[in-house]
Amino acid sequence: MRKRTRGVFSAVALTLAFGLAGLPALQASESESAFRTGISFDRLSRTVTWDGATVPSKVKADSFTARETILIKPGLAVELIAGLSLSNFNGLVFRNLPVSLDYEAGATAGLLLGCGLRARLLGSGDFEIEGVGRFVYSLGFKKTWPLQGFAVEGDSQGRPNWLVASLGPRISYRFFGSFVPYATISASFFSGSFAMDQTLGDLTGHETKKLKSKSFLEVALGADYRVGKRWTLRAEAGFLPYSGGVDGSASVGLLYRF
Amino acid sequence: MRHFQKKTARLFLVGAVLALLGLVSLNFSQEKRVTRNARSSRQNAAPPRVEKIRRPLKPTPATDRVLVRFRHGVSPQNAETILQAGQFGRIRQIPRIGVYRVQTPANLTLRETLLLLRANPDVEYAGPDYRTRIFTVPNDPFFADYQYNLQNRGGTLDVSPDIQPTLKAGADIKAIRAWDETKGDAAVIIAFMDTGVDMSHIELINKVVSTGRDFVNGDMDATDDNSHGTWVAGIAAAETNNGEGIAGVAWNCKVLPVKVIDAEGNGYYDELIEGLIWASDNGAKVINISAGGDADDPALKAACKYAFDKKVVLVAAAGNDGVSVSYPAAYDDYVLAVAATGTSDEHASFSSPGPQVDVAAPGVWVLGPVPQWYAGPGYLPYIFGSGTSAAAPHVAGLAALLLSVKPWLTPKQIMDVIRYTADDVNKAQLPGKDNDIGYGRINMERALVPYRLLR
Repeated sequence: MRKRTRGVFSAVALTLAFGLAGLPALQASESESAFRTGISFDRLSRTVTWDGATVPSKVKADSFTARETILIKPGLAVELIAGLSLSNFNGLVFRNLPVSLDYEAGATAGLLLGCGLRARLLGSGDFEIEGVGRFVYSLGFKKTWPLQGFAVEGDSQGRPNWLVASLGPRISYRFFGSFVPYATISASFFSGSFAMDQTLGDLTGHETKKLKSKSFLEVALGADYRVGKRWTLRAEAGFLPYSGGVDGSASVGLLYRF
Repeated sequence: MRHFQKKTARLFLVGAVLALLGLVSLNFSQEKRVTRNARSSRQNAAPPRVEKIRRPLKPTPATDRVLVRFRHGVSPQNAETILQAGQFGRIRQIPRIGVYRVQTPANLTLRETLLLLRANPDVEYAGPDYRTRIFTVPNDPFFADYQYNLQNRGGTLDVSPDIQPTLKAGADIKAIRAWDETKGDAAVIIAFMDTGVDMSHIELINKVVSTGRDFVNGDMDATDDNSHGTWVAGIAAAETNNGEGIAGVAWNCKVLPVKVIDAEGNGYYDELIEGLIWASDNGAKVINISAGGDADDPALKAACKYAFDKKVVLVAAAGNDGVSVSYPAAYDDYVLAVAATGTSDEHASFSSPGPQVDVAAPGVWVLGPVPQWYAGPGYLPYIFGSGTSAAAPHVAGLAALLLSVKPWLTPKQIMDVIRYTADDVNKAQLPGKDNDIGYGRINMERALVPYRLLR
């Protein structure tokens, strides 16, 4: 699986590299502003396997982010992302602590930071091909749960972190003017960990569980709908097939161009 | 079981003898007895324990299927038409109660599926299809009726026509759910410092790792010539789920017999000391000591430290004199001292109290195996007996199960897990750690089953 993932990433990276090489020759298909600001709600659901676990489980995360897109030059833009995430790791079991824990505490909040890159590669008629890459990291806030029903007082403190990195080409169809549908195929890497500390009387323990995603390729379908001169609505749904099922992602956003 | 009723009177006698034996085995060196009344203070008592009721376990539904029942008057044909129109796959009917099990459509989550079905006026009920699981209940024939110590369902315990103690439901060590978590690892060996073990007993023949060591007679054959050691070893590690006799606490853990007590139930510290060191050097991960003496002895303490430093968990009976904790149980830093509780979780009157008591376990009328020659012809090789000798192997079994799933834990950590997860069953009279039962009666479920972190 690792070899396949590396292969997908290599192919996408090569495509982007060739595309970027030809970038100066391309004309912008629309007038672009230097800055775009927006907000976005994203949901992801990934099937993962944890250290030592034989049965896969789901990680679900919602994020509310503010996004700033800066046009570096025609056809090349970077995106800065910041916001909050709510990540749900229910079903994760920590067996390496003195007293094993079964995490069923639902979503935990975290700070989400990320960046993106969008580069126009090809344009032909109403079609446009861009290379799109994104890196998002969720740094979970530490949360404390009291351990009840024991002979002594104690608690557990947990902090989940995760990241998503994706890279791939996006093809947009600009025939409809203000409505621009697009499709993206990207290699998508999802990784994470959940660190748990336990204190119960004289007992202390620490365990970090690491996860591996089962899906590595994402196919996303979405559309931008321009409302007036400055506002754009964006909606996107993604599918991440893996052997035995399909994971999903969804995103809705509102952008304002200066 | 046919002979069981007939032999109960005899069992009573044997049980009484065993209880006495427990007393005798503690009298290693009465001449060295020291009074420790001055140490019976509560200076080491833990802060008052706060018991809070844990939330019930969250049921786990299947994500790919739901259960549906249609309102009265909706024919099966109409019901199936409705389900097929909703693209629910793999419809299975449970006709007698009009329930359908249907597959969640590929494009809908479980919640969306339920919302969709509940919105239909013909549907009376739509709910998740919750997962079921089996609880590990051993098939040993005496388990259900006689081993209240492992699963107490209330009623009375039929020890003999004259002895019918009342059982309090739940007054047990909570073994059933713990066995779902682990039944023990054969690599974890429990050594028994006792009178030896009947290695041909059906409950132990496949459990002993070797013929052990006999420090009384100076050979390598720790065969039991008394019965006490067989009884104790069986409580901790009898062959379980074999359709015979009783269940042990640690199903799969192994037994190392070490004979340090003679046929009459007497021994000396030097044999116990040698036994502790030999067992520590010969693969024991847990040592059960259902014996002891009244004297504090630096050599005995050094032997306990030796074992403790070799990462061996030491478990010892507190004693049956009802006065003070015997040695080596009283060596707080190295040994878990185990008191006895009764059939209703009460503190057993004979169980020795003291600040060194760590936990308690059932020790009144506990059923265990004995050699056939001891039971006599025509009787089954099992007896009921009482004493902290019976309580200790419950704790040794739990320690072995903990080491089976968490071999990296140190003896101190194992001891703390057993202490902190105990049930404070006498908290109405003595809240928190007390001299009678320490932190409380052990709770295998709390020690082994993952604690649910809830919102």
